Amino acid sequence: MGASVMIWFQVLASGLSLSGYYALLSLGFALIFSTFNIFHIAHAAVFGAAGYIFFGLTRSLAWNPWAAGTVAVLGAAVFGWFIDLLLYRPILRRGGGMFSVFIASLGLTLIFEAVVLALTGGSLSVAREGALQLVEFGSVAIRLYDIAIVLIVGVLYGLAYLWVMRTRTGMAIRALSNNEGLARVVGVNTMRTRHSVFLVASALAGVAGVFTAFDSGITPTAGTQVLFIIFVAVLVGGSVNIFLGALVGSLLMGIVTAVAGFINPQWVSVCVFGILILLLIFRPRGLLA
Amino acid sequence: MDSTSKIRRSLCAFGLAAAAALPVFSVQAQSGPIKFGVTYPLTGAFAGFAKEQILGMEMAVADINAKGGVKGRQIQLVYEDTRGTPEGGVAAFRKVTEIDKVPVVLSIFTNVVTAQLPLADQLKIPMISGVEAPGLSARAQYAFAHSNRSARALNMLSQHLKSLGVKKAFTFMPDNAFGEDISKSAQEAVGAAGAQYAEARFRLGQPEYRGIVARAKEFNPDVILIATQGTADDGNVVKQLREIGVNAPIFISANLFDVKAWRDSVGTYVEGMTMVGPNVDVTDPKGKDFSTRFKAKHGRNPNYLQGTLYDMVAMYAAAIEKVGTDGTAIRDYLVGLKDFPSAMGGRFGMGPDRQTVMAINLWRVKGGELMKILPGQK
Repeated sequence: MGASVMIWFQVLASGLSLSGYYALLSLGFALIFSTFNIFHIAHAAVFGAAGYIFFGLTRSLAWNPWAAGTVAVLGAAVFGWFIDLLLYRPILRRGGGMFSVFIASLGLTLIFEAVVLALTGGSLSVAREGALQLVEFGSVAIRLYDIAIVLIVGVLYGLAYLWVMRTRTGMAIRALSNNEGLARVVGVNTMRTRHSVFLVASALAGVAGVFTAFDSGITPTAGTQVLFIIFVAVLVGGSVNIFLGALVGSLLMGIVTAVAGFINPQWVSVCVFGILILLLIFRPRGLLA
Repeated sequence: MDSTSKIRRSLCAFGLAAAAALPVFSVQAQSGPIKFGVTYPLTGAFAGFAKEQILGMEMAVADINAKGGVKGRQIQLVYEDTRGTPEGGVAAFRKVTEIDKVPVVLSIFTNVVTAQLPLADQLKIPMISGVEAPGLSARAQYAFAHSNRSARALNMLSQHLKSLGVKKAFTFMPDNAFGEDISKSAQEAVGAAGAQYAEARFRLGQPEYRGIVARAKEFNPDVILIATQGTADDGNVVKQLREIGVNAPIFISANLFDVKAWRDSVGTYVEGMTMVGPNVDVTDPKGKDFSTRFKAKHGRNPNYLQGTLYDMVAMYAAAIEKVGTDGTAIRDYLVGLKDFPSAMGGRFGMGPDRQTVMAINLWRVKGGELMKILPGQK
């Protein structure tokens, strides 16, 4: 009985670690979605690009992981910014609606996956060879890496919170998020805000991509697979308070996927999307709305 | 001259011209390369593993062509991507046989080969694969396997587990046709060792396995057995096992020590693992020659899978040299194959179920080296 209780703590620890990855992606996705109403599926491609840049630099060119990680995150930020600059904005400028943007985003993600598949062959690409250090609490083993991720996520959330709540750009983001038309009338610089949001949100996805490529590895479709969970996390949290929403949604999804993975991996999708459907029926504006 | 006569004359002229041209085309076909169809996963979860093994085939082709080819013709490999899926396997088989007109096919992976078996018989095209699943090659008259038979490997592991006094074994296997096939053999092997059995299946390409490794931790096994297809996903299972605090010895159902993609994924956790399967025998002159030349070209030791693929090409070349490119004649030659020299050293023959029999051993990774061990040796 004791061992069984401990194994649930072990599963919970895995869930918390997964929540860290989800939280980074969720926050970026929620920032873009709540500010510009863009269902940014290509966030998956940004995540994947960072992972592959990191993998290529560390494994093929034997770069230091910190330098490779920095380049990968910057690369992801620029890639996300380019997606808005060269894809979304031209569509919107020429009168295309959000559905057109959504389709373009989906198309870009599929192109990204196909190109990466052609270039890499699609096998799992794991950047690390070495072992990770553990700390053990009784029979529950936790990797120091996971603890570091949780701390880094905490710091990044804190910085992002200060950015949104305490800076002029943040004020513009909140204004655009509340009422875009009115924000324009009162002189909010929408273009500059747009650049900032896409750069920061994509950098967050980049951090998640680097962490994933280092640890469990990345495949061409890894971003899409995780993004489905992120959609649900963001919808669970709702868009009233994107920080709390993304955090609560990610935490819930991390625990749900870990528990379902423990009981029966086949049930992960059933649980994740079952929650989504129930939520859409009973709390369509999110749990925290 | 009426129009009917004109048409008749034209047809006669065309017929004569065609008849005159036929031998020319035939001579061209006879003088061109003999193509071997290679239906392998060039993309997807198995791509890294498969591309590495193909080096063995390519080395065989280079050696045979350097000696003048087969019946005075060069050999050419024609690749077609199966993506590691049954539907991809069927499409690839049709492409190489119906478009490229290959007389023989090389393939791999249980789920792919199972889907290709009816086509091999229907089109009378011999297909040699590296599948390990018990009895698979017996399901079609034109199917052959040259591989480490999983049932034999598991039987050897079973004796080892019994000698070690193992009471509980937890097995991981991919969630596909290979996993489905090997599950029964693994249960029997562990049962025969008198140990308690539990298993979990992992989905390839979805690298988060902490849920299923927690199940292994809960089971508290004496040993972990991984029924492997050599993918990088194995590495994640191993890492996540160790990093959740499962320290039981790990046994691998094949000898993957020199499989680069697999080793890269497993990393430093390879130390202490026990593997079962064939290996390139460097004490044999032929095995040493293969190993030396492979290492000179690729900068690392060959693995046994590269050796088996070398052998497959050599088998087809020997068959075509002897009986030509007719599928049924090649099949009959392969059925009677005996005492055939292996690139890995030693000789092998074709078993009654059209699966070759090759020597297997137990291996232990110690100090970064692969050491042969005896059943029961700790």
